[in-house]
Amino acid sequence: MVLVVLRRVGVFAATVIVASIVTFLMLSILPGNAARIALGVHATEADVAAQATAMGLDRPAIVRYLAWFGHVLVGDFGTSTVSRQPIGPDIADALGITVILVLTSVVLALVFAIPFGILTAVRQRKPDGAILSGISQIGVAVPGFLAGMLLVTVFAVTLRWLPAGGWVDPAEDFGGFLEHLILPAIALGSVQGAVLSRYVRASVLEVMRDDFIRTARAKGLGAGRALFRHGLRNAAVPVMTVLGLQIATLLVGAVVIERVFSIPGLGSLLLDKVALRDLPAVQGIVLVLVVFVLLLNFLVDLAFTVIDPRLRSAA
Amino acid sequence: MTAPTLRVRDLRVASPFTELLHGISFDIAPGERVGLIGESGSGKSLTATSVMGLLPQTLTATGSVLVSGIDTNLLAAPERRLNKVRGNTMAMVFQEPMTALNPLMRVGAQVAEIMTIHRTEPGRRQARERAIDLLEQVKLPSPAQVALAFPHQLSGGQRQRVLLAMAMANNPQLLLCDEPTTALDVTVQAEVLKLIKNLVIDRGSSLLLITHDIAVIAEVCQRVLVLHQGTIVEDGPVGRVLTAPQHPYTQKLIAASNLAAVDHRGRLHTLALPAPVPSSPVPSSVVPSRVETDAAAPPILPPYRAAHQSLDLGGLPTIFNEVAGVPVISVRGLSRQYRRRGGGLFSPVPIVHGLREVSFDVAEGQRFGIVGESGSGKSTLLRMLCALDQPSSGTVDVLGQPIAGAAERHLRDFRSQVQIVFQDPMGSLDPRMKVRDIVAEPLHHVDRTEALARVEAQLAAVGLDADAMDRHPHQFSGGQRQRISIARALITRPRVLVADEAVSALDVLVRAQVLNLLADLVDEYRLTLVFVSHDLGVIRHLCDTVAVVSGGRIVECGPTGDVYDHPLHPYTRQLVSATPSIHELTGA
Amino acid sequence: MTAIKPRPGRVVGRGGGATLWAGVVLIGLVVLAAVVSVWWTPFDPEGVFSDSILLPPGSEHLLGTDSFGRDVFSSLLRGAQISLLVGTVAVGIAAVLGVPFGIVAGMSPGRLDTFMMRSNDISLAFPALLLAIIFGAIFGAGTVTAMVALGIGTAPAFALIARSGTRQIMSREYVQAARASGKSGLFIGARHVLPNISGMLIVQASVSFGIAVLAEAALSYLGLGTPPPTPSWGRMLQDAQGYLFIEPLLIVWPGIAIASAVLGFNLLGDGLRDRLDPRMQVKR
Repeated sequence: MVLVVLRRVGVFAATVIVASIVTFLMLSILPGNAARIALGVHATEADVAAQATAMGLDRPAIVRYLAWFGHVLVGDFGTSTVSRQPIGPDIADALGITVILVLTSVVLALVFAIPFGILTAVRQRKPDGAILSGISQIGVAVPGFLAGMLLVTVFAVTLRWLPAGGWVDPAEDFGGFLEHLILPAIALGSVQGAVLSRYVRASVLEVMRDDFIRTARAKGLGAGRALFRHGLRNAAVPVMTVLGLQIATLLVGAVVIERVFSIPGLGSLLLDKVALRDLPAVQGIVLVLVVFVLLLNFLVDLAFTVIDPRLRSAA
Repeated sequence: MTAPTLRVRDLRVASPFTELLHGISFDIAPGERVGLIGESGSGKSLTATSVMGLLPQTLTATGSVLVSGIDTNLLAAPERRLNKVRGNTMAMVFQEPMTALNPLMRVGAQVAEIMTIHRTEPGRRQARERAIDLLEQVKLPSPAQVALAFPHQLSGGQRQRVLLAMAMANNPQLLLCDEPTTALDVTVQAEVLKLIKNLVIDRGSSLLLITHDIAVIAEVCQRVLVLHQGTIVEDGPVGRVLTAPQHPYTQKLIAASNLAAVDHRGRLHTLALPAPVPSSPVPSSVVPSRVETDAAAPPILPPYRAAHQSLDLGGLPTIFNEVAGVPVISVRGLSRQYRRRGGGLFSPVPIVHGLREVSFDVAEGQRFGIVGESGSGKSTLLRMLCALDQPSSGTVDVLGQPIAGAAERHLRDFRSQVQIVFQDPMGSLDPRMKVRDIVAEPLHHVDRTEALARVEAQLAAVGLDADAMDRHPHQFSGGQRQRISIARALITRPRVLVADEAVSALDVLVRAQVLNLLADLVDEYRLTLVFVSHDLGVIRHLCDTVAVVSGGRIVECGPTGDVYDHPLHPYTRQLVSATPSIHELTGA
Repeated sequence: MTAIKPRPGRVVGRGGGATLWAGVVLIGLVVLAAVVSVWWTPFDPEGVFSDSILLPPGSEHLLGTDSFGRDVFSSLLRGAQISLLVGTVAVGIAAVLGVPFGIVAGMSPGRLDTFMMRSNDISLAFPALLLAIIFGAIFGAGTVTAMVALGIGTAPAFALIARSGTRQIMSREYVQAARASGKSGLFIGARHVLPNISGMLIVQASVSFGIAVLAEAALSYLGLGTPPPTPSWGRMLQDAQGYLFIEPLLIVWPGIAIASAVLGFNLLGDGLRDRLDPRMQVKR
C-alpha cells in the first residue's frame, strides 16, 4: 500500500516536470523572440537585442528553463514584461479564489449528479426516468457561461436577490462572500453535474447487469437493496475516472465563468495577461492551472486505491 | 409418498417475439439429485432462472413453480415473498465464479450477508463466525484468512467454493447449480463436483444441476432431464438414459459425447440423425453435415510411435518424443519468462515463468496433442510454435528452419507451412470482412481470380457452399465459423496445422462434426497436427501422441493410450482420474 | 451457455432510433441555417444600423435586433457557419492526429505503449479551451488559431479511444491469425483494427463535435474566437451581456442555438453508440 502510494507520488512528480517543459516550450520557445514581443513590432533591432540580454534570452534554452522552473519551485514566477511587477503574488491571490470556486462546484456537481444519475438509471424504463434523462441531456448541452448569464438574469436582474458579479474576501465579510460565490458555483457545478449524471447513469446501468448483482438477488435481496448494498460502490469506480478527466474541463469552465461574473481568479488573470500578450505571466498561470489539474487527478487516483482493493495489491 | 421439493408444471418462458420454453413439467423429490442437460440455446438456464424468479425483465414466465412448504405459485408471487424464499428455501450457484462475487467486499462478509438477510443468525458477529465455519466446510484452506480476502485474491475454484458456502448457508431445500464447473480446470472441477454432491447429501437438500457435459451429470446425479429446443425430451435415471436412451435426440447426444466410441474409420457417430440448424440464418442446404471423403487417401506414413517418458527433474533435461532423422518440429530448451507489470521503483520486477526448459520433437504425420490446465504454459508453447512470441531462451526449429528470434521477413515460407485454428468461433473471424477475404488472407502474391477459385475450393472441402463467400461471419453458426477458420488455415496447403482448443467452444453435436472434419482433412492433406486442449477426451480421440504440460514444463509424453491408461507422473494420474467420464456407466 | 457480449466492431441491433433521429433533425436544422445563410439572410448581419437598435421581436425583425441594430435572426443563421466550420476542422485535425497515434500505441509492445499513453495523459492536462487561449496569446486570436488549437486539444481524447479499441481488437484471434499468416503491422492496422474501431471513433467524433461547438462559443464569448464583424453565437452572447438589464431576451436566442447544436451532436453520438457499439463508454 505504502509502496503503491510512493510510486504514484513519483509518477506525479515526473508528470509535473514534463508538463512544465511543455508549458515552457509552448510559451518561451514557440513564439520566437520574446524580447520583440515584449517591445512590440516598432522597436529597433538594438532595443530588441538589449531587451533580450536583459531578459536573459541569450542563454541556451535549457538553462533558461532550469532557471525558470527552479524559481517557480520556490514561488518566484518572474517579472511581468508589461507591468514590470513580480507575477507570483498575483497568481497566489487569484489561485485561492479559483480553488474555492472549483472545489465548491465539484461538491455541488456531485451532490446533484449522484442522486440524479441513480434515479434516471433505476427509472430507465419508466416515463419519468426518460424525462429526467432528457433534462440531463439538455443540461449537458448548455454552456456554463450561458447558465451563468441566465442565473444572473433571474436572480440578480429580475429578483435582485444576489449580486450579478464581483468577489468578496471571506475573511472580510463571510456573508457577502457566500452571496458572491453562490451563482458562479451553481453555474459551473450544474453543467458539470449534468455531464457527470450521464456517467453515473451509464455506470449504474452497467453495474445493474453485473453478475454479482444477480448473486445478491439470489441471496434474497430485493432489486433496490441489491443495487444499494453491492452496486453503488462498484458503479463509483468508473465515475471516479470520469471525474478525474472532467477536472480539466471544470477548470477551463471556471476561466470562462470568472469572466461572466467578473471574479478576480486565475481565469480572469490569464485572460487579462493574454490580452496584453504578457507571455511570462501567461506561462506562469498556465503552469499553475495544469499542475492544479494534475494534482486533482493524482488525488482521484489515490482515492481509487482506497475504494478498490484490486488496486491496492497491484503493485 | 412425500411431496416433491420442487414441482414445475407447464413452465413456459417467452420473449416479446417468440416462446423459448414450451411448457416443461418435472418434479424433484426431497434429497434427489437431478441433472438438466442441453445444448446452448436449449433453455436450460432459463429453467433455473425462472424457478428462482430472476428472469430478465424482457422475458415472461407462465405455468407454476411450487416449492414444498410454500403454498403459493412462485411465478405469481410478489417480489417480497420471493425475497424470503431466495437464498433461504432455495439457493443458486452460477457459472462464472470470476464475476459472481462483489469485487469490493470481503468474501466473509458476503457469505455472512445471506444469514443476516434471512435472520438465520441472531447477529452480525455470529453470522461472521458461521461464515468462517461454512468456508471450512467447503474445504477452503485457512478459512479465517479467506474470509478477510477480497475476491480477486482467490482463484476461480476457490471463488466457486465461496459461492457454494453462501448458497448452503441457510440449509436450503433446493440447490440450483448452473454450469458450476464449466469455467474451471479439470482437476478443480472434480473437487468442486465432489463437494457439491457431499454438501447436498449431508444436508438432505435436493439438487438441480444444469450442464452441457453429460459426464458431469454421470458423476453427480441420480436422474437426468434432457432439454432440447425448449422441451424436455427425456427424463429418467442416469444409468438408464446413458445406456439405453429412448429419444432420438438423446441417442445422438450420447453418441456424440462418447469420444471413445468410433466407427471403423475412427470417426465419431454423427450421422444417425439430421443435423439441427434451427436458428441458423444460412439455408441448411449450405451446410452438408459432413464432407464425403470416403474415397480418401490411403493411410500415409506408418505412424511414428513415441517413447513413453515422464519428467525427471533430477537428471538431464529430457527430450520428449525424440525423433531420429529430421522432425517436423524440434524444440530444445525452450523457456519464456514474463515480467509482471509493476515492481521497478523499489522492488525487483516479479518474473513469471511461462515455460521452463521444454524440449520435444514432432514427427512428420504425427497427431501431437498438448494437454494442460489454464496457466500451465500450453498457450505460451503454442505461440512459440507459431512464431507469435519470442522465447527467452532455447530454439524452435520447424521444417528444418530455426524460427525462434527470426525476423518476420525470413518467416514467409514458414508462415505458409504452419497455420493455426483458434478456439473462439466468435473472435477468430474479423466481423467486418467477408468470408472470401477472410479465407484468402493467408495467401501472398496470388492474383485475385486464382485466390477466389482457391477459396471456393477450400470452402467446399470444409463443407460450405460457394455462396458463403460473400457473407459476413455473424451470419454463420459456431460450427460453420469453425469450418471457415479451418478453410483459412488450409488455403496455403500447410504441412503443419496447429489447433488451439479448436472445439472447446462448440456444442457436443457440432464438436463431433468438426472433429470428424479435422480428422478427414488431416488425412487428406497429410498434415502434421499439433492440437492444444484442456480436454483429455478430445485429445485421446484425435491424437496419437500426447504431451502433458504443467507448471511450464512437459511432465509426461508418449502414445495417447499408454499415457492415459498407465500414467507415470503423479500430475498425469491426478488429471486422468479427475476427468469426469461416462465410460463406467455406458460400459464403453 | 456462453453469454455473447456485444463487442466493438460488431453491428448490433437497431437500438437508439428515437435518440438518433432527434440528433439528426437538430443537426439538420443547424446545417440548413448555415447553408441557407451563404446566399440569403433576411437582413445584413454584419453592419451597424442606428435606426433599428434593440427592437423587440416583431413582424419585421422576427427575433428583434441587437445593440448595433442588426437583425438577430440573420445573425443566428450566419453564426451557424462558424460553429460548423470550427467543429468540422477541429474534429478533423483531432482525428487525423489522435487516431493513428492511438492505434500505433495500442499495437505497440508494453513499454512504448506506456510511454505514448503517459505523454497522452499529460496532454490531457492541457484542455482544448486552455490550449486555444494560450494559442491566442502566442499567435493572436482568430478563427484559424481557434480551430487548430481545439483540434490539437481534442486529439488526446481520440488517441485514448483509438488506443483502448485497438487493444481490444489486438487480443482477438483474427488478429493472431493474420499475424500467423505473416501480415504486416500496417496491414493489420488498416484492414482489421481501423474498420473494427470505426464505430467508436464515429461516436467520439460526434461527441467531440458538440464539445468543439461549445468551446468555439466560449472562445468567441471571451473575444478569442472569430473577430467581428463575422457573426458568431458566442459573441452574440458577449454583446448581449451588456444589455441584460434592458433586453434579457438577447441571450436566449443564441443560447438556444448553441444548446440545440450541442444537444444534436450529443444525441447523435448516443444514438450511434447504441447502434454501433453498445458497450463503449466515451471518455473525454
